[in-house]
Amino acid sequence: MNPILTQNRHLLVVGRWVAGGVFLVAGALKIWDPVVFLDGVRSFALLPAPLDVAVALGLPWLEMTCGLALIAGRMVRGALLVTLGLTLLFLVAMGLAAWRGLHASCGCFGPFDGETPVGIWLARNLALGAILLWLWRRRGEINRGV
Amino acid sequence: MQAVFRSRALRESFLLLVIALVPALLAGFLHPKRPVGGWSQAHAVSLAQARAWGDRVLWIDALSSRRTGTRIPGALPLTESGWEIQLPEVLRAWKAGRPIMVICGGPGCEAGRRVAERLRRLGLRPVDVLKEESIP
Repeated sequence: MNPILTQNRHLLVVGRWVAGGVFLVAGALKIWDPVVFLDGVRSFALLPAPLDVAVALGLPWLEMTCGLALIAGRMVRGALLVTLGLTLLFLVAMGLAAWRGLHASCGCFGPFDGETPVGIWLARNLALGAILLWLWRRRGEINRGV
Repeated sequence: MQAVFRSRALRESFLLLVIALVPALLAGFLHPKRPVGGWSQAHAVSLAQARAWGDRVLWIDALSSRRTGTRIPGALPLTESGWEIQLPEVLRAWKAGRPIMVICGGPGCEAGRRVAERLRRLGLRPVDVLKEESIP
């Protein structure tokens, strides 16, 4: 087999595992203590009650489901679409909060997130978005059994 | 609608949403650390409801440094600036499993959110925040 093709396949697997792992861990930590994440959701002042409670309880499960799908290599296209959408949504929400002068806390990793500086948060999300975009562009190869 | 679901990515996205919805709904009703008051709480708790909860909930007023007294009878003052002095009384009033509701203000409930977070770091659970504006 072509070594470049093999290397490329390995990279796609690593990319899926990294992105999937991030969403799996982030979701699990939020599920562990939904009130911490609810505080984060409320700090953006974007959603009315009880929609904020619904997001705090529901979004982590969606993250975990998509994370598992990416790691397992099942429903990868759907998982990529959802996680890309979520990453974009997080970036827009954080941008809006900064524009409105709010001290928003994403609560991305539940109680272990603490007060993450905006720069680190932004870099983390952009890196994740870049991996997801790269995987999305190669989705045809992933679906061929990579 | 049929055309939308011809796209494999959209079809799979929808399926993932449905799969995630099941445990999310269960968590809403069964999670041991779900928000106090469940779906009806958050910013819309009325003073009547608050009073009805009575002694079950420990009320913390994170705004008390800005005014004298509180509209929630029995609420204990606890602010970041007065943390060292006010915390012992809160710890004396709290029992394991007793829900804590922190009254907060401002667009993001920042002061109350920080007080709630500090209480959680001390191991107190569950802690929730309630916006001051929602109290008539």
